[in-house]
Amino acid sequence: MSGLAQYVGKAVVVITSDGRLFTGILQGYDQTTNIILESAKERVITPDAPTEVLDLGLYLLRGESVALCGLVDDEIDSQIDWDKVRGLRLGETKKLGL
Amino acid sequence: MLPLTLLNTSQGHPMLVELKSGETLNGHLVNCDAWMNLTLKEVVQTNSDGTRFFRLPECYVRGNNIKYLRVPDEVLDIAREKNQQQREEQRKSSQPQRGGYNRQYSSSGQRGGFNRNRGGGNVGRGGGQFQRGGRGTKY
Repeated sequence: MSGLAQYVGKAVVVITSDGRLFTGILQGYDQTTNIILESAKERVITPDAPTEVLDLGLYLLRGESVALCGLVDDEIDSQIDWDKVRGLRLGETKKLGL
Repeated sequence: MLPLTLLNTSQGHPMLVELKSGETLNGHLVNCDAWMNLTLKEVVQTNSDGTRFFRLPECYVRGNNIKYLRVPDEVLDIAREKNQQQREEQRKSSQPQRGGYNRQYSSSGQRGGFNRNRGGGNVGRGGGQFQRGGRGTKY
């Protein structure tokens, strides 16, 4: 089985083409990768400050702006101390041609 | 649940729309379509820096400019309820037709030719697209 079906109802992480990172529960998707994220949170990772988590609520992401959608491994995720995580801001993706 | 189902259910609710340009629009969803084109009313538009605000009584957004929509949490519950209701209605409406042998013939008043006997397609079989998999069909 492939595709997003297997992620429905589970915690996922979504990276958008503008370089933002969202987590939440995948509640639905369609052919164009539009995504429903329930209890969406944005993780703002910066080089020199603790990771900031913004509580956003219910989000509907347009497929075009989705770069990645990955399943979260709860066990590993719970071991990460996000306060200590530092990182550079992700770049943007660019669509070439049409 | 399909994203566009959620969007449809959001009609009449407030929402925040961020465009690819980074501008945001805060307003009440009046209408939407399958391309995610929207009409919003009582809109506050914010430029991409968040430094300037504009008030618009109404605006139309072409779907392709949208990055994401932020909708109130309760809309998801409402959409789920609607979905459930629709499923039940489909189940109910299909039941009387299950024994609908007579219907096909009496309504036509003819003996019916070639097509007619077989026909009725969905009607006779009581089949919508959701029927096949029985109750537990997910979509």
